[in-house]
Amino acid sequence: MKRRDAIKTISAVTAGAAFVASSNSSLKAETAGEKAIEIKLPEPMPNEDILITMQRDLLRALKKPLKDRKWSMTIDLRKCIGCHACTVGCIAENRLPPEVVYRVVREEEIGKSPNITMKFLPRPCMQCENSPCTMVCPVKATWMREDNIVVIDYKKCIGCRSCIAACPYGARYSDLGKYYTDGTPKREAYETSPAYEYGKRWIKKSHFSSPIGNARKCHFCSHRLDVGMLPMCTTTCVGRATYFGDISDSKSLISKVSAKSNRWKFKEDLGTKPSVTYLV
Amino acid sequence: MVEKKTINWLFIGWMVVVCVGIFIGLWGAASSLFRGTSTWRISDNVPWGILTSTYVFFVAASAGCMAVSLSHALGFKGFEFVIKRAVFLAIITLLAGGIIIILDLGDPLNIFYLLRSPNFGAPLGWMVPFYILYLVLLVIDFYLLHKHGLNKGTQIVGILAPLAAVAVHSTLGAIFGFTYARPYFGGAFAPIYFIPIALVIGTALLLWVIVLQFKISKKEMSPELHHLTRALGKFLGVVLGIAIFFVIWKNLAGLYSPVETTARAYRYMLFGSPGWWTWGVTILIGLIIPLFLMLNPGTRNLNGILAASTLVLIGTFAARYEFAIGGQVVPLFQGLWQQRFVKYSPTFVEISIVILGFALCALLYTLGNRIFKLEEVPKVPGV
Repeated sequence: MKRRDAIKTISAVTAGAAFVASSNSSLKAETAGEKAIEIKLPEPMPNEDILITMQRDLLRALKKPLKDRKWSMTIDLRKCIGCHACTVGCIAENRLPPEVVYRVVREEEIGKSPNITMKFLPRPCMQCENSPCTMVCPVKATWMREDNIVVIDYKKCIGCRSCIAACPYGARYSDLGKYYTDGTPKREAYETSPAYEYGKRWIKKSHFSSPIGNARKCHFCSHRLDVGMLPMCTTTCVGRATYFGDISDSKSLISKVSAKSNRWKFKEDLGTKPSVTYLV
Repeated sequence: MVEKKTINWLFIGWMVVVCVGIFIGLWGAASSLFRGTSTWRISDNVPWGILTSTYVFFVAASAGCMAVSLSHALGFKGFEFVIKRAVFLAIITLLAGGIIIILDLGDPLNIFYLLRSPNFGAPLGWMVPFYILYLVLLVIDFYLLHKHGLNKGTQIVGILAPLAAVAVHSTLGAIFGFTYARPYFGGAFAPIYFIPIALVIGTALLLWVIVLQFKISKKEMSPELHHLTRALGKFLGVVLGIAIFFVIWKNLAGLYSPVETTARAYRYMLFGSPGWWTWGVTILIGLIIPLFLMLNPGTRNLNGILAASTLVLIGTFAARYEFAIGGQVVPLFQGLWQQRFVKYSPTFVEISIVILGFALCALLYTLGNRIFKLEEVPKVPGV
C-alpha cells in the first residue's frame, strides 16, 4: 500500500511538473524523481502567518496555465530588519559563487548621531516589463517569460556581459567560475552540489559547464515555484517583509498588499516598469 | 667577389620582440580558455575590462585606416603609395580585434548562436552582420588591389569598404552609448564621437607603420611617399584637433550633468585617483603633444611623425581603457559595504591577451609585407 501511494504521488508530481514544463518552450523542467512536497495547510484564519497565506495563493496559482500567472513581489521596507537571511538563503539555494549575489540588501545610515537610523533595501531582480537587459542580448538568451519572470537560457548565453552593463539596478551577474573554498584543501559540497535553476540540473564539472561564463540573476526561484514552493527569500524572511504571489489573482495577498498608497518602485522614472514594489 | 651580406639587426630585434609577444599572448589565451574567466578581474560592477577596451581600440584602428583610404576613392592623389598598407592594416587589426573579443566572452563555445538566433533589435546584433560584411569587403578590396590594381572595381569597393568601416565602428559606439544605465559612455554622443577617434588611431597607426618600416628596412623612401607621409602628418594634426574638440565637450557635458552619479564618475576620472593618468596619458601624451608636433612644420619630419604617432597610439589605447572603465567606476547599487568607486585593474592573463593582439598584428604585417609586397603601388590599368 505504501509503495503504491508513493508511486501515485511521484507520478502525480511528475505529471504536474511535466505539464508546467511543457508550457515553457525551451526551458523544460526535469524534476523526474523529485518527491512532491506534501503540505497540509490549515484553514484560513485571521492573523495567520503570511507564509501560509502565500503558500495557499501559490498552490491556487499553479492550477492556472503558465501564461495566466503573473508573479510579483512586494517588500515592506518598514518590516525589513536587515538580517540578510534572504541574501544567504538565496546563495545557498542557487549555489551562487563569490561575487554573484542575486538579492543584496543595501544598508543606509540616515542622520547623524544621536538622531540616527538604519534603513534597509533588499534588491532582487526587478523583473522589469520594459527591461533594458533583454533588449541588448545579441543571441536572445534572455527574455521575459509569460509568467512575468525574466529568464536566462544558459545554453545560448555567450557571456558578452552586455546585459550586466545594461541593467540599471546592477541585478545581473557574471559567473566567473570562482569558488568560496578556492585556496582551501577541498571545494565544499555546499558550492559544488548541483543547482536546479530553471528546472534543470546544473553541475559545474569544469569551467566550460554552464552557468560558468554566463550571466545569472534572480528568477524568483522559478524551480521552486514549479514544485509548489515559495521563493527562498520569501521563506527565510525573518521580518516577514517579503510578499510574493500571482498579482493577476485578485484574492491573493500580493494583490492586496501591492495596491497601497505607500507603494514605491525603485528607479521607476527610468521607465523600466519593475514588477517588484516596495512599501515605505 | 661575393658581397658580404650585412645583418639587419633592427629587423632581427623587431622579430624577437614580436615572437616574445606571441608566446606571452598564446600563454594568456590558453590560460583564459583552459582556466576560465576566474583568471580575469572583471566583476558584476565592471563587466567590461581591458579586453573590451582593446577590442574597441583595434576596431577603431581598422575603421580609421579605411576611413583615411576614402580620400583615395574620392580622388585625392598620392594615397595610392600607401593604399595596400592601409587596407592590409585594416584587415589584420579587425582580425586581432575579433580574436580578442572572442577570448573576452564568458562562454565562447556558444558563439554560433550569434548566427542561429541573432537579436536584430540590439546594436550587438547589428554588429555581427556589419563585421562580416566589412571583413568581406576588405578582403575583396585587397585582392583587387593586389591582383588587378586601381581599376573600376577597386574604386567601387574602395568606397563601400570605408562606408562599412563607419557602420561597424559607429555601431560599436552605439553598443556602449545605448547602455543608458552607464551615462559616462555618452549616450547618443557615443556612435558619433567614435568616428573622429577612429580617424586619429587609424592615421597614427598608418604613419607609425610607414616610418617604422622605413627605419627598420633601411630602404630608400621615394619622394612621393615622403611627401604623402608629411601630408598625412598634417592630416593627423587636423583630426587630433577635432578629437580634442570632442573630448572637451564630452567631459564638460559629463561634469555638468544633473545626474549626480554621472558627474561623480567624470569628477573621479578627471580629478580623482585616475586623474593623473586621464590628463597625463590620454590627453597630454595622446592628443596635445602630438598635435603640437604635427602643427609645427619643423617637427613634421619623419622622426617627429614617428614620435607623434607612437604617442598617439599609447594615449588613445589608454583613452579606450579610460572610456570603458569610467563608465563602470560608480557602482549602480551602493550601500555601506560598497565603496563609492569600484577599483579594477587587469590581471596578467588579461594583459597577455592584449599583447597577443598587438604581436599578432605585427607578425601578420611582417609576413604580409613579404608575401604581398605592401609598399608596392597598385598599377593603374592602361599605364
